[in-house]
Amino acid sequence: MEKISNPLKSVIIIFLVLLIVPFYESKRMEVLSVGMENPVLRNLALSFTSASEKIKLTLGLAGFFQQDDNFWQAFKESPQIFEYSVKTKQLSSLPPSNNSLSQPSLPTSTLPQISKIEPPYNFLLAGDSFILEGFGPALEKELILYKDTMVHRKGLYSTGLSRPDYFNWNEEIKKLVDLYNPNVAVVVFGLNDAQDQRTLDKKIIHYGTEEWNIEYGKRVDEILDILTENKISVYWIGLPNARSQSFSDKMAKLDLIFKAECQKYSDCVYFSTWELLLDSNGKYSDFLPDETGKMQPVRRTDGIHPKAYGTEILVRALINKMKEKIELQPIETE
Amino acid sequence: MLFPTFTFFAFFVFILILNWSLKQKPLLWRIFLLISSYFFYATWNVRFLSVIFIISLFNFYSAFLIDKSFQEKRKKIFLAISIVVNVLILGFFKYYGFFRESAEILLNKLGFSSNFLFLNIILPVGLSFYILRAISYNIDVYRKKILPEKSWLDFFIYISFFPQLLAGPIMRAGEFLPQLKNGGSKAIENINENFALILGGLFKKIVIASYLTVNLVDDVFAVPQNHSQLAVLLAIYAYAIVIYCDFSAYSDIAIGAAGLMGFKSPLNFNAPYLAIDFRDFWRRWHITFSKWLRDYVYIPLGGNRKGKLRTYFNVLITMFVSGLWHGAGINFIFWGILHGFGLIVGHLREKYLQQLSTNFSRTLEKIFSGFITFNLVCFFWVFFRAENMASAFDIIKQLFNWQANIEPIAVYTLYFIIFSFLIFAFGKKIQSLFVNLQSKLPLPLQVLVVSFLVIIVVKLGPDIIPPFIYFKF
Repeated sequence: MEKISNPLKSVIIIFLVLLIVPFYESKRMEVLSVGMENPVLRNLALSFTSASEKIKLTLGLAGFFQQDDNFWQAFKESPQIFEYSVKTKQLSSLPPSNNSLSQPSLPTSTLPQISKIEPPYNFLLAGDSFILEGFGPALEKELILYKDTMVHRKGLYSTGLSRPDYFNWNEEIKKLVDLYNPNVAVVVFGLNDAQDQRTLDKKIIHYGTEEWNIEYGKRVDEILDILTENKISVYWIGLPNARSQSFSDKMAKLDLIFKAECQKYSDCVYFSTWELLLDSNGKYSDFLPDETGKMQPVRRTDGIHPKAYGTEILVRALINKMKEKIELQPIETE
Repeated sequence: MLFPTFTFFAFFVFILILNWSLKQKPLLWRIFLLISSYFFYATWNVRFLSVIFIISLFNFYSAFLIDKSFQEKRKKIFLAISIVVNVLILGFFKYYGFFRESAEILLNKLGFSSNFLFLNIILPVGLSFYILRAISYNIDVYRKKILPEKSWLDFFIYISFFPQLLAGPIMRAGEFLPQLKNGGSKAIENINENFALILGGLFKKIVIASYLTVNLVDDVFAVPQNHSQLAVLLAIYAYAIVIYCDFSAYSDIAIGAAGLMGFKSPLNFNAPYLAIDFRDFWRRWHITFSKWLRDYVYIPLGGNRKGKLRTYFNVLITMFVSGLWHGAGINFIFWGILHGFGLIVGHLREKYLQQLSTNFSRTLEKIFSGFITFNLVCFFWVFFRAENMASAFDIIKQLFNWQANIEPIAVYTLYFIIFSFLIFAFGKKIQSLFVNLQSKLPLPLQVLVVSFLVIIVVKLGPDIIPPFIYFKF
């Protein structure tokens, strides 16, 4: 047999690896395929993953692949060393441990209503890139400057509530509540959510339909249920407007859903950011004047995420809002 | 389009097939290379194409003007114009905001009120890298190291060649352009080494860098005040690993991908954390950039030819440029200058080393010097990673905050840190083990081995992979 040339060999290797790996990882591949921008590649990848799943079922291998997934998921859960030990100056005692997730859920109307939150304040900040960088870290930095506060933050790029098959925030929130035992939560979602939803049972709900709004509202509701059932006061942060008008319109629609869902809960405060970053004409602006009248950049080049001064405006306003329910006292320096 | 994605490899297999099919027709092959590179770049932002096109066009003709001028003075003028234009383009996209803010602060301090024009400028990804290629090309033509490229097509490919477009390695025209002639290489040299580089790159980026970034580094560097001393200390060392694994991964995949297309690329990393001093470090870290700085900044400044003090000054200026190139911020400049001082100590060390008489004492000194260098390099990265100087000092302050909370630490972060050090030490051996194994296996088994390793990488990687760090430079 004639020896295969190296160029041909390299093509064969990459081509076959491109078949074998997505076949083996068909579930993950399916999730990634939905997010592909190129429709041809997306349909090709989805057809391939669907065929892979069928082949696995036909060959009776579905159980093996499921076990394999479970093994790796378990393997990736890292054990931890050390436990939280908090300096007494900031936090005199840990919050009461009354937030077991196994508690039966009560109808919303019968839940105890917390108007004033008692210290110590254990904050959970959770959400998408808004929490990962810019706003989230700035808020964390600010909150730890107050007495009896403890802050945990979990932000993830490119995530939201539309694609629980890609990243399931509802499950993540449960885990975070179990892990950190918070009594105040600040959540931001939506920047990546103006897209078709894909439920865990693979149902696709098209963006822009009434069904989409209802399903999205349910997801918001689920998160609020998890939090409020655990006696956690929620600050749901609305999305700001954006440079792109079409993106702004999408964010405005999401804000309506967030606000409507939040209003159903006595322990949820909807915090609108929309008007905070508008200029004096009520329009989007990359720059806003500071206290001295000097123009400062408030948005990043993407025209969505806030820059340093923008986050400062948002954090300052949110802290003022929080002070209505939380007694935030600055730590006295010795 | 990101390297460690299915989309890229689907694109790449298509590119490979056409690349090798078209080599018999060199013109078609080169047109194809340019179109595929521009397509790759357009997937980031179509508007970036106009920037790379204008830069390519400008530098193609500026090199001709430099070469065709008979008078040395005119040559110098054209060279100066070409450098200034390139630097201005880079400066406009990358440093406008930084210089505007700095100028305003300075003028305000001097009692003048100032309000420069605000512009929200998007930095075209990879610009810092292809501008360096363009500058080196003009200088090499001026120095008569190379002749100006006659084919605009080849030159445009040199500037935009997609595997190396976004983050290097920074190849010189003299290394790259001959590889385009006569349909280029007709075979792949060391196919298994190229696969080893790609697989190693995927492992370093998806498994190590992503895990440490998501689970430790990003959180600690964002708000160090809210973390324990141990977490801060681990995050500092973890970031040293992250930046190495992230950046060298990009280089490895770029070199491997170019290699599979028949192109040879220079080495960009060579176990930098095993360096015995800062001079050695810069011979091993981002090698193509270090050499660029040496040839186009340090040597033109006079290098080491003008006395001891001038040498040290030249080193500091060069590292100042290095810092500024990495980012528009005082923290980057400070990081560069710290390395400059490290390099000066490296110069002094060489003299001290000559005084040591026995091999034993020299070995002992190397171990000690290597240990100190490694720890200083890790510490200096704090200024590189932090958002600004204030954040960098927050991190350092938190290291010594004896009041800090104790917090849980994921055991895997410790494993990853330790494991990464083993990679520094044995990376090449692991690579040659793979190459030897693959060369002995029949093709079907080679496919299975590569597939198995990719599956392991995918399984170990987090759900969400952060972007490559060097893209923002």
